Amino acid sequence: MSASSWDEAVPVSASPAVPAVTAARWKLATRIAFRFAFSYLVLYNFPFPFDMIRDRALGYEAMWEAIVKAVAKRFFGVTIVVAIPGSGDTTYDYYKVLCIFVVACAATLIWSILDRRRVEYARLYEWLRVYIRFSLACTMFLYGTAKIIPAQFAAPGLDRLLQSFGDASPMGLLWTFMGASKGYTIFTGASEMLGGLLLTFRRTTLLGALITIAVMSNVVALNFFYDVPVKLFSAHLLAMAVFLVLPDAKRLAQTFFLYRPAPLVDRKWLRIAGIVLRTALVLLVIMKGLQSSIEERTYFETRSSLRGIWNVDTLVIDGVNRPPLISDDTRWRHVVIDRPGVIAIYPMVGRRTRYGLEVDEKKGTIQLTKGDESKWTLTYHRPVPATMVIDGSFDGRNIHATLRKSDEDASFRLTTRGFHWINELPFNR
Amino acid sequence: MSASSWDETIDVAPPAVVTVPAVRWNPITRVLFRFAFSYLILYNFPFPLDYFWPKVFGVFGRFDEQMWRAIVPAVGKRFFGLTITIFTNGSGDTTYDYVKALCMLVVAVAVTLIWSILDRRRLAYTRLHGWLHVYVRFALGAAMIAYGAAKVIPPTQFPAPTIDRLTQPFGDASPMGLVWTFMGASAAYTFFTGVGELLSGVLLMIRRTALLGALIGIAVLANIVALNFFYDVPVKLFSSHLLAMAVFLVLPDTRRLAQFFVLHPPSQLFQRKSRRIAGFVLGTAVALFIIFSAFQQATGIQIPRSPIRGIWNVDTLTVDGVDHPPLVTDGTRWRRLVFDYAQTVAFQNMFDSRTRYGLELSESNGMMHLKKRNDPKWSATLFFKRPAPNEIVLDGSMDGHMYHALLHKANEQSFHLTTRGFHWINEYPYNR
Repeated sequence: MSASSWDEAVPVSASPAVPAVTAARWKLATRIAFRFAFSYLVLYNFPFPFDMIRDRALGYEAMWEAIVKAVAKRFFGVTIVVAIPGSGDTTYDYYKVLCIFVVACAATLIWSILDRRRVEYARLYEWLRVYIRFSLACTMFLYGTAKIIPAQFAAPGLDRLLQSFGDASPMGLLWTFMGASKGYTIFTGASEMLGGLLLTFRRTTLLGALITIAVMSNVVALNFFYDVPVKLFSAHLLAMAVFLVLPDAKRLAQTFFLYRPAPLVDRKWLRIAGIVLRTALVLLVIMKGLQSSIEERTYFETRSSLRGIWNVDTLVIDGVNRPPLISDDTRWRHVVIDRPGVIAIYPMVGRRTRYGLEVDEKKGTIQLTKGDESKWTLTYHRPVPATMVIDGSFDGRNIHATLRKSDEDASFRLTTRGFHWINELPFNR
Repeated sequence: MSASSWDETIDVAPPAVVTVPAVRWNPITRVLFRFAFSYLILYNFPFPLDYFWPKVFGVFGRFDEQMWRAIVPAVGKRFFGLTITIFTNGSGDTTYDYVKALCMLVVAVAVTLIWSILDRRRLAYTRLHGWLHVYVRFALGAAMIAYGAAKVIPPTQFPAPTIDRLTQPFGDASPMGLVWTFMGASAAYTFFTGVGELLSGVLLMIRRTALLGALIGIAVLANIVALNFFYDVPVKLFSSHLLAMAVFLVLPDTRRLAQFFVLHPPSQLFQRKSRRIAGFVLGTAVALFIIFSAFQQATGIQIPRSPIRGIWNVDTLTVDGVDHPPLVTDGTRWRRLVFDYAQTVAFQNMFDSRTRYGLELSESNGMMHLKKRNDPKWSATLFFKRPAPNEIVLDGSMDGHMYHALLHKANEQSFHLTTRGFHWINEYPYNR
């Protein structure tokens, strides 16, 4: 679908006096591409606008369910259970898109044969644009309002606030992140509403489509990178916004790439000097950025030799054994070490405290520091790699602790979930 | 700063003409330009000297910093009775930064005044504006590239969450900490946002694409400013300045953009005027209907809170007649029940992992019905008594075991995430 051919066909007329759609001859490839785009987009968006009045309007979705089940069974030997709504990336959804694609191809073929004499579809194309504009705007309104009235992302509940980060799935993290700020959620909702609103007016369609592209590319990125099963749908919305921009592609290029502002300096050597200076600056800025990035990266990627979540199995304080009762608020629960230099001590209840850490493997000592004034040196030894025994005086008390390394870090949902094309159900934990 | 007057002077120049036509700016535009020039130069100095040969040119940066560090505390002391000892650190929104911005504003206004008197005969600053435009483009471009580079090479601005972070509860995070963990959790998403910043920065540095770079910059920076304001990230002043600079760069092209996007006649579907009006009316009606029903739908999703909202610690628990002391090694024991939204309850066990159930609670009948979302056949009913407002007694069978539990409501914990609130001034970043 070459942008230039669209342009020729539907010149967004330069002279205001000619408002009508000009009937120029379209290239063969453009005509075929149009027939496909028309079939696919109408099949995909239907039963809009009837679904505004009633869910599952006109039995359209039911029809696809029957077709998709039959196709999956017959050609792929897959039995599809249509899941409860929630995920838009179920096996069913992928097969449905495939079916729509095949039907659209077939429709294009038949249409191209039957209607081979027609040289352009300017008028039909305008109608398709209207349909897509409103369908896309409708979705933007639905998404936007659900954010302006914070319904999509509820404020994190008390149980969420007590849950650990590692327990959250990537999608759950995104939900909590958004839910934590009503202001930010409203901001994102307002930009979706703005895109939709501009799409509903013919004059502002281009601007609306560009804003929608900006907003939706962020949404698509979030959906792909945080395992949100709206990947197919949001990618379609983005494609629809791009479709609306196509006829203006040439105009856009002219305004933003080919436009030559008056140069500031007239002498050639000055202009060359400008180019040299600019290139040098760009390179310097990037180099400086990379240099500090690489330094920090080395720090962030270094791990302590004692890295792990260490559960405190037994703890003897001043000779008294302290059983792991949740009601004992002076007992340690876990000790967590990740990057070198920091140790976090989790009490049975409440917030963890972090201390500076220095490990001397030769002497078998660890030194904990708090601020500049407090410093404690304890001995440690590891009879087996998964066990650590700590002895010494800490915070005015004699500590003897047996720590066992937990394998919890291997099962954190947040870090182990990974990427999934197909989600039969949303994994929003 | 009226957009049209900018346009007349700059935009009209055809590409081939090098000499700038002598035009007349209106007096307000001239004053505004003098102010913009003074403020933007003051704010961005010593850029770009800080990038070239720091051993030699670094002296400017050090001088600039020392000068402000002398002036700002004195001004703060003299006029506001402030003792300023904390300077810009990880936070760019310290008291020092606000007073410094105010000082720059005052200096820029003074310069504007003197300049306007001395140079009152000048009709336009076309050429100087051209140079300022170049300067701001590069200053903004350099900032965008620097931010972008820190995201494209993961994981430096937002490192992946450590296992300490993963062990911590959400409520212990500050809003800023939540943004950091959210970004850090996906190197790919961080990369994506970095590419947006880099793209804007590079386009800004090329004359022909500077407008596009500024527009992309506005989109990217608007999001960053929103994040900074709403998640307590103390880069509010700096990011707002960058956004303002991007807007400044777009100003001369306002008319061109308006022409391009709005005033340009769109292709028409109908020839007859009556039909066009009908189409407009119908379109507006459809849009309004959609917005209205969308709002209605969204309002319907609001979930009510539970009447016994709170964190309820399980003080004693008897399972099948056996008492279970609150040992953190006992994964089958309930640690607490959390009621927040009315139709769910979360059971957290001693390992702190939680199970959520659908909840139907009827205090008057003294019954609590539990359901599982993914297992419609499962259900449990517990007798519910509330002898005191902060005390609950539960009795009943669940998963084939008889439970008897005594719960006490925990004191409302002050979660960093929900209680931090908005702060104009941060002497230090509150990144927990």
